[in-house]
Amino acid sequence: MFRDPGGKLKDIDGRLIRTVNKSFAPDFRAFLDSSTARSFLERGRLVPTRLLNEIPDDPETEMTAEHQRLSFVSFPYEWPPEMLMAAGHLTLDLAESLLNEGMGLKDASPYNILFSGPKAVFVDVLSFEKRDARDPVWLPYAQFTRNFALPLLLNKHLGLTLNSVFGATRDGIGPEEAYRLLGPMQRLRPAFLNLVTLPAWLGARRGNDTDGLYRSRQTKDPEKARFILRSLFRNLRSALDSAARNGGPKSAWSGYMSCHTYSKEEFEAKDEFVRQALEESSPKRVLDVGCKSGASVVAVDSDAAAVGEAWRSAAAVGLDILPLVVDIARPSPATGWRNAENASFLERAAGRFDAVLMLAVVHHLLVSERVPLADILDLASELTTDLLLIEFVSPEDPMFRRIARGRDGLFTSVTAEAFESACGRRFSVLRSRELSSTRRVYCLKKKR
Amino acid sequence: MIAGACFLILWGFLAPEPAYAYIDPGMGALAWQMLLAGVFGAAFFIHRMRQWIADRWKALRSRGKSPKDVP
Repeated sequence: MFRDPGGKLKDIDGRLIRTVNKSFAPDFRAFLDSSTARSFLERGRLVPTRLLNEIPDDPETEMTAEHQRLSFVSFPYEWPPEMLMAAGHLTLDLAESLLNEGMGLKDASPYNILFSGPKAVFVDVLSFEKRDARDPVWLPYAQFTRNFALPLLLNKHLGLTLNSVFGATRDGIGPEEAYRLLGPMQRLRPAFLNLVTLPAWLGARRGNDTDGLYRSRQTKDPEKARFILRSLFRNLRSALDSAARNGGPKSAWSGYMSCHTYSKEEFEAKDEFVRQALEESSPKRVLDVGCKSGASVVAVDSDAAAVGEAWRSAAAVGLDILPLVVDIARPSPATGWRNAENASFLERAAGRFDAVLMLAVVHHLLVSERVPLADILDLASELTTDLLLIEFVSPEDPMFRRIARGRDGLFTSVTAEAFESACGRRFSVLRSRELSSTRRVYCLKKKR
Repeated sequence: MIAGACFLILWGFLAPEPAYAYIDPGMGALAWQMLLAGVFGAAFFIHRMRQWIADRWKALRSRGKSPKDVP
């Protein structure tokens, strides 16, 4: 937010206050008065914003506004492709809707969007400006293709993860870089020809001759300019849609609910235990680590396909679930300018949840990540303010043995007694239930 | 448009790719957007022509109906 010359966003005593500089105030006011802003606000697609009377003692500032705080901040490198696509559609919908009101969107960054549950919400209200009605060019076109269309297309066709794109760069992936990743025949596929090959060739041929390119252009007829821009948005929308996968991608975990090693009875017993524990304590915010069950507010998992599946289910029925692609063994670090632009996942999550669910996940951390049990419980106690629902899986369990791959000797000390003793350092056991001879689920309360 | 696209494809394959120390990352996409704008502009012209022909046709038909034809 510090990059924006139009104003600043500050967290003052838990309130999100935006200051707007003098030269940007007319555009800001015009946007808030537009029917597009009203309609997107009503549908929950724009962050609720309230103008304030208080003006800080700063000669540059003309207006202040307060934004409603969304429950959890997430970034594009934590989204599955489905969420980036929803964010891309929201960006195009706003840009197109504003055309008829003489306004436009001046940038097309996925960082302008956050998610409230599974719903994309546009939050950067200083991204709007009055536009020249006869201008047929949308300058953020290149930014849109770099940040939305190309990462999604490359994810679909080359399996490039969004984390590898947005974790490495702030501004997505350009046609020139994408061109180098494609084979000769792939470069000629219609989707890549439009967004990668022709732009890359044109860019290379033009060299450094940018003067003519960036001069402003005008059509004689404003209706023609709108027609061109609408067609351009349609072209980008179909590029996004062409990057959608049919039925979602497959991964090692994407059919987990139908192929886990629980019996029906065990699964129902676990479900009942969790439901009862959550109903009794009525937590406001829940973190579900290893979101195979998809039963909480913020659900994290390292598997983008499983997270995408959870997002589609939550979006379809409007559940207040925000699924994110986060590997709890190596969570998103702090990124951006001075490592202070986007807080790390743990910084955003620590102490934010009344209940944390770690079901069928501890044995993965123990075996695949080789994280000691005490450290796993230390992390859990940093994340939750009250409850921890955790499942113990013994080394004799078929799933444990599968991931241990013959290294059973390393885990002889992992017993139910050792697990309970490790829990006792930071938590007290409220109750537990045996699901099978190798699995037990615990409801723990954090010690004060 | 098809001929233009074929020419560009051929050009891309035959011409050696020049290397630059710095290439503006948005330049190629902007140049492509300009070409697309040209195509959409032509589509707008066709769209307007169709509208004009439809309007003229409607006007001609309504002029052809004399008041006595109206019951």
